[in-house]
Amino acid sequence: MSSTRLRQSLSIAGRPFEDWVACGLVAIIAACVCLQVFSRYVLNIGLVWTEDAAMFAMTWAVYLGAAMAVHERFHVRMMATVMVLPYRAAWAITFLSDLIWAAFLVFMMVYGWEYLELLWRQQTIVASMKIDAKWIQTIIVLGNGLMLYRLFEAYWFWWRGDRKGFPTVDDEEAPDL
Amino acid sequence: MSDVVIICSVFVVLMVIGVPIYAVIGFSVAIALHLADIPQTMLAQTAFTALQPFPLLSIPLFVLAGRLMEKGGMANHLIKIATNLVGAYKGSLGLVTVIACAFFAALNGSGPATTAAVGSVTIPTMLNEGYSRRFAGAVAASAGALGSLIPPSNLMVIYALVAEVSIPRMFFAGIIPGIVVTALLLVTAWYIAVRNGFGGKGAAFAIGPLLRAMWDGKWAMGAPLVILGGIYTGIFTPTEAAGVAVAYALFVGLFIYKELSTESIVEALRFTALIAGLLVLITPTTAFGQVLALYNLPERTIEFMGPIGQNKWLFLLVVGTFLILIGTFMDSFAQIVLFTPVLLPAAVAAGIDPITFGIFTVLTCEIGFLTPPVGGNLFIGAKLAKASIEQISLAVLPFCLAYIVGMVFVVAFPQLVVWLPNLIFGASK
Repeated sequence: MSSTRLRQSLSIAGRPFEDWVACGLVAIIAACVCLQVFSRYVLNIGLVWTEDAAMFAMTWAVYLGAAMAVHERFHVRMMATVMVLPYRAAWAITFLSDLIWAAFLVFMMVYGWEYLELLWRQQTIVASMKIDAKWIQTIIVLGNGLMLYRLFEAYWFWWRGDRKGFPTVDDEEAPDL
Repeated sequence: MSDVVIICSVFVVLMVIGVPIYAVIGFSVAIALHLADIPQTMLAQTAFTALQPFPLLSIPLFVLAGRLMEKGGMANHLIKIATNLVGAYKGSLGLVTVIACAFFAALNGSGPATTAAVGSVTIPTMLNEGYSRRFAGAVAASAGALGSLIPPSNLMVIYALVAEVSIPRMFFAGIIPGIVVTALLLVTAWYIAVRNGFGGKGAAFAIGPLLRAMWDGKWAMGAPLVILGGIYTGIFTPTEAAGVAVAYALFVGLFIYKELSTESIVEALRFTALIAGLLVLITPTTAFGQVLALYNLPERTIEFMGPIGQNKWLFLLVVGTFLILIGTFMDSFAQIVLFTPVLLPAAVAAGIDPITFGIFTVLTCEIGFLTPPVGGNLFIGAKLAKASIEQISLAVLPFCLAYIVGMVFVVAFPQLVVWLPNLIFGASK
């Protein structure tokens, strides 16, 4: 993982904005879960909104983390067979696989939007938080869109830079869980 | 060409050309939905609902807790305790590494994180004391894999969610195999060290220094008690235990050991967000599971296995070999998500308990951690020991044997795997 690739656009204090938002969301998840335990055992009250809030923060953190994983070249992909090929062939196949990835992201945005349109016709209020669930589900379109943006950006910077190596793949594989 | 052949061909081709697994599963499901004439909006729907199970939250929380414990000085205290325990024996630092990894594995749920936390301290010390780079990297890489076998474990959470089994049962089922594999790793490290004349210069074992180190490290030793004790007594769910582990790690790192800084907390949050991002590949899997059911793939797998599926040993030999081979190329997380829905029904049909099959699967993933080209622990071990992947890959082979013997133990004595969870939670229905 390279943590020093700081050239991204849409950045705050030298880091892509989604890094900061995702960090904040992870902190919210931890705070909500701790608050749930604290309120049950110390305050003797059962908070109903903490579980929903933590899960919604998780959903957003996953999609924003997935966008981070594009610019950090952290996505899980099987590169072993591609990387044994000569550089040009490996580059061409990686480009093809990135095109397929981009097509899938567009597909998810289109059908995510279609799904949101269905949701828009009705109100689904999350009782514990008094918000409409469809707002939370917009992350499907936004998250896949942000991944697509970071994917194009990786190629843009590769083109504008020294054009060496691969725009979206590191020599090292992403670590396991 | 049948629909199943088309879907499987697309899946394999996309995987082999290096398309990210998120898109591989998603595309294959989209084609299956198209062939079955089911609206594609189902994928968009599961893209949200797949992330809603509350237990899923335990993964980023255990990752965050592990990272905070690593940066907050807990790993160092555990290493001190291990040094006082086995520091005088031949290959002492190898043994210290194994024991410290086993301790740290009980605080966090990740194999590579355990390798990084313990190896970053013990590998440089081993190199200073004349151990070979190959041995130093290999012992830390292999013992670090205990992070996924000794609870809590992120891989067990994923398996439990996919297999729809209890997470606490999975956690407690990992304890006895974890102790067995730790013992096997200790024997392996000792044997290699004796043959090569490594180490053995530490102070002779004495109870006083050990007790002192344990007292100094009581906050680190206390973390597993809080995490597993909370789950055992039913005070917390596994997700809540993970949240409490984060609070505990923050408290100890900030106020007791005072080694956590704002930068290290932000770095831990950022690392956790990245790992959370990997969970995006779960989002098409609910639809993937429905597609598998639609095309009767689990039943077809049982039919395909034929007589192999009737014999437990033969079945696990074939499945174990397959999973180890796949694990050399595929990330362990993706491996569990993809193959559990297909193989578990066949395992159950062969008379294997789902919890035992889960521990077996996690053990195959651990061997995957240790085999090139996709071996998380191997990369970290090699980097810390400043050795090549090739050198560490060879040196790690005797330690892989310990995990293979661990797999045989799980198959031979499944009653010992489920003994502890059955004792604590009652026999599973």
